[in-house]
Amino acid sequence: MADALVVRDLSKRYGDHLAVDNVSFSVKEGEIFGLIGPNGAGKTTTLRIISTLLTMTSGSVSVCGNDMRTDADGIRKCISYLPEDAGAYKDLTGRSYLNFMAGFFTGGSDTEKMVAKGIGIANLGERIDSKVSTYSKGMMRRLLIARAIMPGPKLAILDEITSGLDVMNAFEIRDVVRNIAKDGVSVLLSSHNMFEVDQLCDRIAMIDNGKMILEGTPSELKERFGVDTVEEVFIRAAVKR
Amino acid sequence: MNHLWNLIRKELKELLTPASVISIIVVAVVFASMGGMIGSETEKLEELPTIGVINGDDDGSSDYYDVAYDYMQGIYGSSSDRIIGFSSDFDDVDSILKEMDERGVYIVLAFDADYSNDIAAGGQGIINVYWGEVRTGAFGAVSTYIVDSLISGINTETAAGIVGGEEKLFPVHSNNFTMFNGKIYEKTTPSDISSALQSQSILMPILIMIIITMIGGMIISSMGNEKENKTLETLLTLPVKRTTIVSGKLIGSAIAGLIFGIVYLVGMYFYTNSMSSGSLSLSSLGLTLSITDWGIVAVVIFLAILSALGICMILGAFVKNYKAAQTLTLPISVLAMIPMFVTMFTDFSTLPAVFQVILFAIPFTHPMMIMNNIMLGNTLMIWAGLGYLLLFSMVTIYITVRIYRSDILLTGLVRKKGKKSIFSIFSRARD
Ligand SMILES: Nc1ncnc2c1ncn2[C@@H]1O[C@H](COP(=O)(O)OP(=O)(O)O)[C@@H](O)[C@H]1O
Ligand SMILES: [Mg+2]
Repeated sequence: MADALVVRDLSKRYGDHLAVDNVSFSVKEGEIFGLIGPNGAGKTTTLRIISTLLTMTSGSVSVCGNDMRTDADGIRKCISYLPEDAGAYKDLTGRSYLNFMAGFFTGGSDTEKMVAKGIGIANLGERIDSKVSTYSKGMMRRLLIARAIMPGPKLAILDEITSGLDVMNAFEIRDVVRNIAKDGVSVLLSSHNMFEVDQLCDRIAMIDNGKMILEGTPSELKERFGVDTVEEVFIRAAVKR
Repeated sequence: MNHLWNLIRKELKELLTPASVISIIVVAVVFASMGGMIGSETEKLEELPTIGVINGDDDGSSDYYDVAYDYMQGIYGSSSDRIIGFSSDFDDVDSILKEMDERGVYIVLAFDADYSNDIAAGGQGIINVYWGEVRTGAFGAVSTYIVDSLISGINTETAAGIVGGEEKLFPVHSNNFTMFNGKIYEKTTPSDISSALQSQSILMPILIMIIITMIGGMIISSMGNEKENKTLETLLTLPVKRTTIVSGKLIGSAIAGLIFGIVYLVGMYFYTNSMSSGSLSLSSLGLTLSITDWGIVAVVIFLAILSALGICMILGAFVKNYKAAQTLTLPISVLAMIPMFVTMFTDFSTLPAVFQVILFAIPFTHPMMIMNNIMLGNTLMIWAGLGYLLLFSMVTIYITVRIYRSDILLTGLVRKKGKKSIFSIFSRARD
């Protein structure tokens, strides 16, 4: 199977601070790949580089065969990025927000189809016609995931998609992500919630202080350390270093 | 093009909310009435000006000239050295103007040859009042207040001194001649001219200042919002060119700015129309704008708005959230206030060179002066200003695009030892 994303020896420096240090991993087609690690580990920085938002200091990134340094435009055509804690334009309704965003991908009747798909994913009922400023956190997150998925990206990049949500909303969102992957979309997500990645991800990479310390499927890793949870894997791995 | 339109529409929806439109109208009304107050205050701020006197009344008896002269000496008191005898003939306008220029005197009272005779015969003695070149700007023109009261004092004195003749309330009549833009206007005082110019001299600067401040505040706030909600981040990962995103923001806000501008213009048009009844109209001074002139005015205003937006987008790039955005609107309002006050209260051409350079460098000076410059035919200022604005807006837009292609938009300025990485927008940029 082809790789949707290949990251090689990626480093990012903010001034004197090395936020991402020689990170390498790849995401296969249709796979849910989780970047896990504590706050400040460098997850968001990594995702932003892959999303073409930040320049890398060294290394290489290729998305669906497009090289970051030579074809950032090509990469933008096949990704969707959902920033952590994102919002939408507060004067728009959910529907008009989806309409606005769809306008960047299609035109004419295809736009309507795309918006209809988005409304289906968001599953907000009548509230899709309310202003987004009236949405709860969970509703907002559903709208934004719908926005990210409706254009049919090859790679969805989701930063801390369940952070700040209650149990019910987080559960629903995870369900949405699983369904995305079933449709063949590759997902790269970040989380500091070890339980969540155990539940959701096909493979995970752990980063701490900008360095990648482990990579594998959750069961593989648990087996390797002889523990029951991914959380324990992380603790063991972090202590060992 | 499609994407651009999509972005412009979004920008307009965001900027043209009922709340913003209402606040604009309120502020417009407040500022317009302030303009009116300033206009009416100007009359009272005068000290006694240096005044030239020509006594044409030298044949026959010149008694009544002496009455007037003594009266003026009395009024001037210890500063009567400010009353200067002129050597020009009372009816030789060219020579009078030349002498005014040489002596640096702005007002000349020329007593007619038959001044005393006319009064003695029961008619009116004539005093021609010559005014030097009118300065633009609200307080540019020396007000006619002092001269009016001098003439009316001379009237009273003379009437009281008429012996034997018929009693007459106004034995003296004055005719005003005013230099403006190199031409002499009869029966016109500097006040007439400056109130006719008031819409350009006062309202235009206020209007431009409000538009720039409002639109600047709005775009910086909207950048703050976009950062806070991460909508900008999202936008930047879409398959849309960075230049399109920047243009969408710029054009959308520029259109909003123009719409606000029109709201103000309409409001102020009605306001000035209701105020300036009875005074001179611009067209009677031969000051009208052709279609081309209006085109130039519009282009200059548009470029100034564009420059403001460019500055704001550069400032906005460093803003982290909505709150931080509010404080950053200050520099732009200060930049708009300085040329507003200067163009309102002084005449650009009389300022020291240093201030002229500073003012010229502020892009918002140019739309504030453009109407006067066109009317007075200051071709150099018009084209130099236009060229400068064009350059300025291009440079700010270029910098904005570079910022949008760099990390700065998301990370702000990251300090490296010894060197700030603001220059990195020119080296590490990517498209
Ligand atoms: N704009 C920035 N300037 C300087 N340092 C930053 C910046 N953004 C993030 N960092 C630092 O980089 C490290 C990684 O941050 P981040 O990628 O946001 O971590 P995570 O998403 O895993 O919590 C942190 O130490 C953070 O303080
Ligand atoms: Mg993060």
